[in-house]
Amino acid sequence: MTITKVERAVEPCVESGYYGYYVHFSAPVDEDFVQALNPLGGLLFLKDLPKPFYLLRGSRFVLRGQTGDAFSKLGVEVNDPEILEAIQKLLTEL
Amino acid sequence: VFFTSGATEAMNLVVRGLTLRRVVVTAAEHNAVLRPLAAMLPDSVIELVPCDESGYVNRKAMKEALVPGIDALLMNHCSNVTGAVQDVRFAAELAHRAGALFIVDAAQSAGVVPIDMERDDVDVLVFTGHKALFGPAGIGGFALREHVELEPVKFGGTGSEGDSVRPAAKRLFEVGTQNAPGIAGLVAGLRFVLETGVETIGRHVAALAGELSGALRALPGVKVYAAPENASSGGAVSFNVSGLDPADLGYILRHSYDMELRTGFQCAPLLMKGLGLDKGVVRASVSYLTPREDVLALIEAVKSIVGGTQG
Repeated sequence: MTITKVERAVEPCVESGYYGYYVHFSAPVDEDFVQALNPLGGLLFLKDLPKPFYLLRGSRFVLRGQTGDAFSKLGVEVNDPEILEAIQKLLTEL
Repeated sequence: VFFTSGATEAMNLVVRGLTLRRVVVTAAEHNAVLRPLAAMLPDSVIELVPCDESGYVNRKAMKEALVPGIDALLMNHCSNVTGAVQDVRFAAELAHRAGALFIVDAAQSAGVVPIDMERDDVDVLVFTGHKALFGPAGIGGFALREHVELEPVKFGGTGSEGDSVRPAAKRLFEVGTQNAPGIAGLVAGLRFVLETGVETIGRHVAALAGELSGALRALPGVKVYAAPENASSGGAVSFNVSGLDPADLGYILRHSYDMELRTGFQCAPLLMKGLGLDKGVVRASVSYLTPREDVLALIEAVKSIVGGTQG
């Protein structure tokens, strides 16, 4: 799976202390991808929802999304391009 | 009535234009009130009246806080978090007995809860156009009773005494080019409200909000912060689902159910702190124009999410 696009979220989540982005993938996220996130932080995976929801709390970032969607919402604590790039690299290497 | 860009600008003009040395506020206040005060006064002279989890002020604490020497009581007429409508006349009596001005933030209530500045003894009323008055964003204002000595804090052209840089007229609070499209939009909204009737709108909103809060309260693992089902409501109903952060719940509602609800602190940090909510809430807002089907769909969505988180 590759990242096709990263765009600033219209709603930046600044109130919660994060800067929001939408990360678009080349294919819909599936359960294997979600399970592969596990080493990157604390993973919550709610499989029994109509669209299973995942939340990954990493070091200085949060990633949330649903399986079946080809995007995730990424929140980074500091609006630093280097941190954003590092997280993208982590996701691409999964 | 003086027009501004909204309740926040109105509150800034009011707070900065009065001589305030010591004030009382409630924990339900919006940042539109709290931040202008905090920018001007130290915390030590801002007395805080706590609220319960439905957003109602503690009447005993309010009574104790309003003593001679307090310059003003600033109170949210209706909570933008819980929809709870405060007892304005009770607060007015306490404020005036202490010799304080009574300043009401009616941003959430104007158009959905009847208010009469003379009957309710309100000295200053601040409102926004974009909520229950059905105006566009970017218009609001404040209304003053005659005895309130408010000084202007913005200066400029007013369309009067154009030959003088020191105009003699008082109460020149509307300076510069006014937001005529915003005012026209607000007028259209006000006509709709008056033709429909504030009481009719209020009953409808309270019934919808009551149905929503009652159904959510009945769900296991759902904590609701709202006015009681049979009480007046400005239409806000906040809640959390056990095991999910408000941001997660908002994400699921948005991307699985196509529902847009605000998540987080709702610009009411003291209420959140008082309730021990370090990540805030998810807030639904209903209005006179909200179809009942939307309320029922939200109830079903939350029901389905609760089922999915407990599996």
